[in-house]
Amino acid sequence: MAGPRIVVAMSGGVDSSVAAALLKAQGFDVIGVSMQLSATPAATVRAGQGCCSLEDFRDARRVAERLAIPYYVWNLTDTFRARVTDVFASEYVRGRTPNPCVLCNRDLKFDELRTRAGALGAALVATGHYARILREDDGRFRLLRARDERKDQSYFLFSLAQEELARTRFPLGDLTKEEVRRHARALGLPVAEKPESQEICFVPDRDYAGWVERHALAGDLKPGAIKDADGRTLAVHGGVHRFTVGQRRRLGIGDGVARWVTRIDGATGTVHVGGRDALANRGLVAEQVRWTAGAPVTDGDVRVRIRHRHAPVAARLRHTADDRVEAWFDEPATAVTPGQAAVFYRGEEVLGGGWIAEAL
Amino acid sequence: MTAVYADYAAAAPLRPEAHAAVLEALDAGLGNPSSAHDAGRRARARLEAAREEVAAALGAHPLEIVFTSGATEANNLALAGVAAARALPIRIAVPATEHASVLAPARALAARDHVLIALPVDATGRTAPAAVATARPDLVSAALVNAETGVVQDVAAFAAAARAHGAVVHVDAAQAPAFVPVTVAALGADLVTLSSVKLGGPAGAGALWIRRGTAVVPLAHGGPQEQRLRAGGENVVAVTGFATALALAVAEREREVARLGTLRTRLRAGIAAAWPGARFTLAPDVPSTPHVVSVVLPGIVGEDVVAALDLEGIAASTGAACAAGAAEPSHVLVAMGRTAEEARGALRLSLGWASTAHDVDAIVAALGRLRARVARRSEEAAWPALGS
Repeated sequence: MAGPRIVVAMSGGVDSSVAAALLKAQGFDVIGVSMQLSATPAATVRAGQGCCSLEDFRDARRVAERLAIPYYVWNLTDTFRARVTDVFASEYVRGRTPNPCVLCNRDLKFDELRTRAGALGAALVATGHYARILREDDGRFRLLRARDERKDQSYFLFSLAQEELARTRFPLGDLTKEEVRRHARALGLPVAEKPESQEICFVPDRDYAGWVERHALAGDLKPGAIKDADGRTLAVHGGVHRFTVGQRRRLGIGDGVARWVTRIDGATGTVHVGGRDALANRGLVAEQVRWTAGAPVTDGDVRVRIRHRHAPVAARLRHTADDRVEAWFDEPATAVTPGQAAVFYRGEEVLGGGWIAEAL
Repeated sequence: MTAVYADYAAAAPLRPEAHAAVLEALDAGLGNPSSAHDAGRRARARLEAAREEVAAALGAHPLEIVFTSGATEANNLALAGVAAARALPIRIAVPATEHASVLAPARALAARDHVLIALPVDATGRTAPAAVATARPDLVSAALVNAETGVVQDVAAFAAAARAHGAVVHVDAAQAPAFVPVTVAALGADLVTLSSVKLGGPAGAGALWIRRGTAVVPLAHGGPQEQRLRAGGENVVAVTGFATALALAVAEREREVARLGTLRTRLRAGIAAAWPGARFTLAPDVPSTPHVVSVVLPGIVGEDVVAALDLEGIAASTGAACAAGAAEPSHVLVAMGRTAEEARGALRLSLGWASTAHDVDAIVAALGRLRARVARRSEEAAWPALGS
């Protein structure tokens, strides 16, 4: 008799394929699902560059066949548009720099897995994320960074609640990427050598500004001024969506002086620039904060990660309202960017996180 | 492993008689039907015998039958072939509920100067003949039986309205022959599409009946096969099985309509009892084939019902799928005035020659178990109990 039933989100990549294989080897009754996120005709998707291409579904299906597990595709194009790509566009228009991968994980992958796994008779779900979940003796669950620091994806997972952690398995949390590829080769999985996908899946050419211009309402894209620290207008720009905090190139000023975007005021459409030292921030305000650990934790040796792959900086947290937290850095951090996630760590544990509302 | 098969509208299981005919033809050492030797002649003899069998089932002349790779190709040939035979752009009228193999070629023609008129349908999915007259079409294409709902169009009235305006009439009868008479004279059509796989014949065969004198330009060029209307070596093995399956379906039609009608009543009653609030797409009194039950089950999307049934060994469908295999919101239900949510939620169960009361009871029991899970899930914040 098969073990507990578990639904595994399979992208067609090597990570989620090996995750499914490991769970199957552990005796779980594994069901594979892929999420169709984009309705973009396949002809316009560059092969292997997006997680929404037919090629990836084909790979996931082949892996499922190899593992002899049932496999289904969920059509989430409407949800993806409403919760991820529309938000992506509106955040850029507001002068923020969104992180669609966090949105996608929170509002799509885990939300859909949670609400739909039950219909398939599964109490458990799994993904190929590099992160670990530890169950404490008191029944509490802790979300931990992956053993492989270079692959750690815990930053994207801060919004998982205790109830979700209880139901979730991350089979790759203790493995390195090389070990995962070795597993895939040993199992003869057809995706063992597949390259990583790094870009935002629905913008394979990485031209985010161009994407926003094609998808935002025309009236939302307003020209504005680029001003220096003294308030002098240096240039006029075509819309705040073309800028992100810390950006140096393509400012369109053209006087040869090195300047960085230090702040974007979405309300007035003003892009503020300054010297490199002006990028240093003493802290940040995070909103819509969720506590992965189950309850607010602000004491102890807390570190904050302000973007994926950022080395967390030591900080003191101050809970200012229900779901708002101020984080004051021990040492200044560079280019705190509204719209990105701020994730709070203690040691290897994710305590919680929220969205950066402003730099301090 | 599939224990209960309820997706006949997508592909019916191969009938034993068709299976035997296919195997016999495969092993008969047949050559190319165009060849002037014994192996070629024997292939030709089988091909023409199959043509006569299909023609007889339709009350047609054998030379009016063009074998194709299936209903999709036949539909494409009907629309593109008739349009290409005209010197000037034509008006093409198509009910909004048609199969993609009619809608897509119609849209492709509209992109090349022809005019596409989407005919409105009522809440049952049928088009009023008056709407055809209003559209003033040069070509009308309509399904006799809708694949997603089983609704039967009054094609004869439809065709009469169209012909009164001089239009060419194409009928997609891919879902029909086992349940509704497909006699070309009674339909009043100029072209009729048939499918093998929907009848329990092998996949890869179909036919387009073309009334003599109808001007059609072939899609593929390069050979004189099929009365010069479809170049390419004939699939003798497949059309042999197709003809066998069609003849059986027609011979058993009356008995099967009665038998499947009883099963459908049992299935509808079972679903209504097992799933409170289940909304059937068609009321029992709407003219429809007995092989399709389309139903929206509240609390779950069609995709998940299909997956949950599959995990219990039951093959069903949402009705429409994209290239990746994900369910698409049904354009048929949207055209019938249903909400997008309902269009995503529909489950299509379709029965056929091998379906039994035991199958129906197994489906109902599985839906009952699924309903219990869904109800518990909504009570327990979306999760079933751990360890269940």
